[in-house]
Amino acid sequence: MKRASFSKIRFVVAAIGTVPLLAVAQTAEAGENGKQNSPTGTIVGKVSFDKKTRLKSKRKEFVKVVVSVEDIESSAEDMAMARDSRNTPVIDQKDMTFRPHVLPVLLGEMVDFPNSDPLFHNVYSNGETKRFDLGMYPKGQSKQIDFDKPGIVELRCKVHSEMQAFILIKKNPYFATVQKDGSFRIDNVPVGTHTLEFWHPKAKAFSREVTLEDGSTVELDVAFSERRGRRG
Amino acid sequence: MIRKATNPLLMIAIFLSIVLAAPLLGVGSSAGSIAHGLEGDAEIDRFVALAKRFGVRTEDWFVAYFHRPRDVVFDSTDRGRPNGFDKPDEAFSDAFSKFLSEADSNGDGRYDLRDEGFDPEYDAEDLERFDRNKDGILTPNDVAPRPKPALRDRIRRIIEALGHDKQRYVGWPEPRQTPEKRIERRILDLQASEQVQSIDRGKTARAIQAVVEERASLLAPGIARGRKIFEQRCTGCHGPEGRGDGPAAAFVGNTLDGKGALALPRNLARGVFKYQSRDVGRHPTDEDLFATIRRGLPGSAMPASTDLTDPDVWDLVDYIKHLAERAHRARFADEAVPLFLQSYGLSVVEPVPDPPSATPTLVQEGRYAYMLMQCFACHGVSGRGDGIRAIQADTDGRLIQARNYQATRLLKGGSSPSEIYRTIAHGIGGTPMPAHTDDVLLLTNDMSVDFTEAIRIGGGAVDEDSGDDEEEEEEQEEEYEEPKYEFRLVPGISQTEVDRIKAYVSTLPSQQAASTISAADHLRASRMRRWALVHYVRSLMPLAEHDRHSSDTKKDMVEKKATNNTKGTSQ
Repeated sequence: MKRASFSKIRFVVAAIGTVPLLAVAQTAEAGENGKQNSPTGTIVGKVSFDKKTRLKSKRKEFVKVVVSVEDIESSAEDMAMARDSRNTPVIDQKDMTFRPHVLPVLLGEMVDFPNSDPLFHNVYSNGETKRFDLGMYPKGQSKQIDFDKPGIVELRCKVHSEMQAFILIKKNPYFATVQKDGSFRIDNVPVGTHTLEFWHPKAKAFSREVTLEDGSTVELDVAFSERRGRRG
Repeated sequence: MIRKATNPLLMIAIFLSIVLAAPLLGVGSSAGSIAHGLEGDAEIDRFVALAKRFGVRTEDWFVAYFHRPRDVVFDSTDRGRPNGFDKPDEAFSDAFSKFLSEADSNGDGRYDLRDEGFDPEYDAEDLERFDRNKDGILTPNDVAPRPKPALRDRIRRIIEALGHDKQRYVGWPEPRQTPEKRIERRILDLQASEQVQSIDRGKTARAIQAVVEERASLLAPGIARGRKIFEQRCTGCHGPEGRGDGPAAAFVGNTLDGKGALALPRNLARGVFKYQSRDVGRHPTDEDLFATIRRGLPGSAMPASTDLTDPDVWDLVDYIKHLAERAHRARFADEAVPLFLQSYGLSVVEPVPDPPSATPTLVQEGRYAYMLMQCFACHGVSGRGDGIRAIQADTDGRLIQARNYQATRLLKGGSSPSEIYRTIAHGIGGTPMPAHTDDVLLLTNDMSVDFTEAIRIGGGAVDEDSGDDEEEEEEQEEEYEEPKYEFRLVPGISQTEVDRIKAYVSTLPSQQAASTISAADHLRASRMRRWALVHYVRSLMPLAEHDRHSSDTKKDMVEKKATNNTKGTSQ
């Protein structure tokens, strides 16, 4: 808030067809099979943080970024298929931390909350998207809960008030967590013009429009420009 | 003026105005001892008499009272003791408001967890500067005037003279008999019928709607009466909308020495309450709210309301429910069933059965459970509220401290065995005190007896990726490092005790055996363990003084003090 702003938002959208991509580690979070018939494209890109966010462009912050296509609402069958094709998402409680800190999941998906610390933990949320409290449980035990409403759930632990995590519940499988090097990739996105949202717990979320053609790959290079909430 | 005062409130009003006006008319104007705005023991006596009649009054309450009497006693004619307070200077207040207006993203006049971007590490510098009372968040408390030492001493003397441990204690009300109970039953039946496939859903929805409307009209008169009482007695701290932001809120939650801000007025509109006999995440019963209003919350500024009649308190309960339901409806317009009805029947109200008596074995078992359940993490190995996590943030981000059982016999949620039982079972809403459900309390022989606690070894630890791409590095970044922890054995537990607990754990059923026992046995075992905890906690509490001399008066107190003093000097 005290520093002058360099509100530089680099914004490059380049459709580069099927050119081989940057050599980065990639995980496609999207469901793979079964959608070969309809025309789809791929979105890849890199994320960084501007100075004003006071967040470092480092792996610790990158992995808290979720990139998602916001304006598609998948059909119930597609969602069920996407759910089946994924492993149960897990948020571990280890070393007094929820791991991962940010987890995108599909609507209706069960999330597993194991406790790996040698003391009792608790998971609860008081938010509007989902209100629950899993109670206390010791090391080695695990509890599950499903998320049936799209939105953001802030998780906390009653007995350790500094523990915090976020679950982002998405209406379609076209989302990805940014990798440790700041890159992301979303496969099999239906063609058309979409709104792509970038979310980080401490930086102000923003969105970009992307237009996909069949078999094309859109490349983005974007930066979070502001801190969340507080001005400047 | 002396009409037939059928309204108890009116009577209180008259009584209060007479008593409180006295200092102004009479001795109040006597010169000399007014430096701090109080004029001697006569006034202390008056307050003690008042508080004895109207129930527990606390430090905070008196601070608020002396600053702005009308905020906490609506018809007081007292002018307060403004000279007894220190105000922060104007420059500080201005800077504070400026910062708050920028930082407060949700516009509730506070900067706390619920504001976007709130981050104690990131905001450390600003918090250091503005958080005058060191409660970790910014609230009007930080710019509130503080009592000067002389006034502080006087308040301490009043509190001491009150001897709060000896206050009349009010327990549970009789179950409420109202038409609303029947309404709740009908809603429940309708909801059950909704589960049946063949039913006409539209019809059920309309029927529910009709019952909800009927409930609203049934409750309306009570709500209207309750609102009046609320506006007279509660808005000072809880604010006109019940959001915990009344003018006196700034004075409560300050301990007299100015350190810590514990237990600020509840935001009633959030619908989260501390003490309830329903499961976690559900809502309190009418009886729960009644008990809290009657008893007050000893240890916070919330006074006991022993002067209200039962019907008055029930009206107040209806209005408080209404505040929460109204706020909830504003957020979730599509929910047909009002907030409190959603809890009805959906979770089991666990009846608190008759307590088994406190045998030494049970107390000892309670101690084992206390250790195995890691209660020591907050309440400390010896129950003094000095565990490694004793002070931490509640769900609103303000600091709250675990109870020191050795200090008092008055617990906020009630100190009778069945009330402590309830608090252990359901936790304390909105605070770090969790619920201890039947599942949790079924201990097995694989429980860890390595009593570990996590100590924070601070951020600033070596960054894993230091060295790579530092292209944007210019000035030094105030970087927030994730806190790091280390697990260590809890100090203060003797090896003898560890051995004893080990022996106890070996007598517990194995996890497999535990999973096969019948539901009834399970319930019996966990309940007995909860009772064991209750009796252990009670065994830590100081002996009740009034058990020894029950008709303790101010005179006795003074005499006792005098003898103590002579003892002190003669030695």
